Amino acid sequence: MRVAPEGVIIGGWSFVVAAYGVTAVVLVGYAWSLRSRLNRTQQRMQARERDHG
Amino acid sequence: MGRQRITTIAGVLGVVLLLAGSYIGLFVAPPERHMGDVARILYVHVPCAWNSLLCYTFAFGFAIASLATRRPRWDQLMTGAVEVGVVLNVLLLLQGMLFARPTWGIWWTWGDVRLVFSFLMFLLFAGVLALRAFVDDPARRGTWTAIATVAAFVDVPLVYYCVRWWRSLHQMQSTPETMDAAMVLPMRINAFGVLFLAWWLIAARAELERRRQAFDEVAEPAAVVVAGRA
Amino acid sequence: MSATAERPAARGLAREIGAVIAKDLLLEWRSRARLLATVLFGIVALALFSFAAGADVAVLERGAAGFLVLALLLSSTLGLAESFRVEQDDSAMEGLLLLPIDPHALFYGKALGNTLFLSLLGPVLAVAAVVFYAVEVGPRALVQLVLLWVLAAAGLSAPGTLYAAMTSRARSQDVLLPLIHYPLVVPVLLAAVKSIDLILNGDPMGQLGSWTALLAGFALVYWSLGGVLFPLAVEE
Repeated sequence: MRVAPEGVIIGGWSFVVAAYGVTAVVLVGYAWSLRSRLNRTQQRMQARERDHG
Repeated sequence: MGRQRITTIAGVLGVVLLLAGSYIGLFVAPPERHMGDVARILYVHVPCAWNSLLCYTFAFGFAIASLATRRPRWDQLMTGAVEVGVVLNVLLLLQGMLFARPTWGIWWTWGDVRLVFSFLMFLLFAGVLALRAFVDDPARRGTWTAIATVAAFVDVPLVYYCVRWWRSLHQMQSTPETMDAAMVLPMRINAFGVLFLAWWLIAARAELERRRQAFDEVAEPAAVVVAGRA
Repeated sequence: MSATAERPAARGLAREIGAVIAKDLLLEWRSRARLLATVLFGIVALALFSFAAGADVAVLERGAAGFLVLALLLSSTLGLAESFRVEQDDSAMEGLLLLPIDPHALFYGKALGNTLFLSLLGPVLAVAAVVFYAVEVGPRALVQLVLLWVLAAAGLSAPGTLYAAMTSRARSQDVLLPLIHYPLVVPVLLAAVKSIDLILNGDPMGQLGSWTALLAGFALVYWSLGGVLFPLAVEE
């Protein structure tokens, strides 16, 4: 990445990719964590219903 | 069931819009005049910023409703809105740092009003989540986090103006105020993408809260103490 | 809010607020431990900032406003936590709420008491700052400083009282109170530091009025908001 004499930034694609990558990872990760927590709570409720008849 | 279907559609729509907007932002939109390709970060950064603040605004509304009506549904939605708002807030801080590094050569600066403001928003609303985690009694948990949410939201304009005056002599030029039409499109698409995705995430988080509260309500005392809040 | 049958008149409210303040002052006078400990803590904090900032007098002078306000903030956490810990003993809080006292009176009484408490720290910390940071203060500046200090103390006390009431009955209260209190009072910190700095180091562009107005505005918002939210926070 370099800055041209007129003050324009050239390149910097690694930062762009990192930004989009971080966005994807965080959003997908959060959605996945929600899904697994929902399933886990569902399983616990079902297990308790089984135990108590 | 109908409500769940609508939120699922919103989630799918959100993902589709985000993918489309990101594609346009990365490969179709022209590089910005001064910041070149680095400006493409703004196509996700600005939508996250808008929607983070929007989530906090919804959280404020849900908090007021929760305090006024005491219905658990509002508390569950409020929890969802705060948590999703914090997630988006963290995202925008990370994106902001990745934008700052190539633009100003540093990861962080106290000279950028928006960056400092976003950081303080994160602290305010992460604190609300922390409060929620440390209160065991469900009724108190709901009331107190609603109070903390109201207080945090009232603080938002105060913090903003304060930080702006604080930095008024040292304002660093961050984002371009006027934008090329070709740049507005991916930003708008992504803004709606994040909005619909946030809608789905808030609904899911509210549902998780509802299930947890239902589980805890009938749990034996030992189970409540032992079961960790995963 | 069904406990109170009628709203007390304004005079009654003022009387109740006075009673709450008097009760806390009496408790405080009997032990004096909280005030002494907090004053000592404030002095220690100022000294620690000196060590952290180094021996350069210029740096210390420039940072004096910030160090003073930080010392006030840290001391406020101690004082606020203590002001409700005393109500936790022997379930005194429940007893207080069973009395036909307006919860608003409880809030304003506690908040005023905390403001007074923090204001008393001012003279001591100011002397310490003059000694540690080599600041010089003329008589006019001194008056301005006193007013600003009380305003800053008020700005910290109102949200702090609300949050201390809640966190005193939660887990890990020692971590929780600063965690939720500090971000909320950032406007107070910024405005107070800026104002005190302008008084100590000169105000060429006449900004003191704006910053003081911001500080007062924040205090006003939170004293009002606290009064609305406190009854909800303490009801069972």
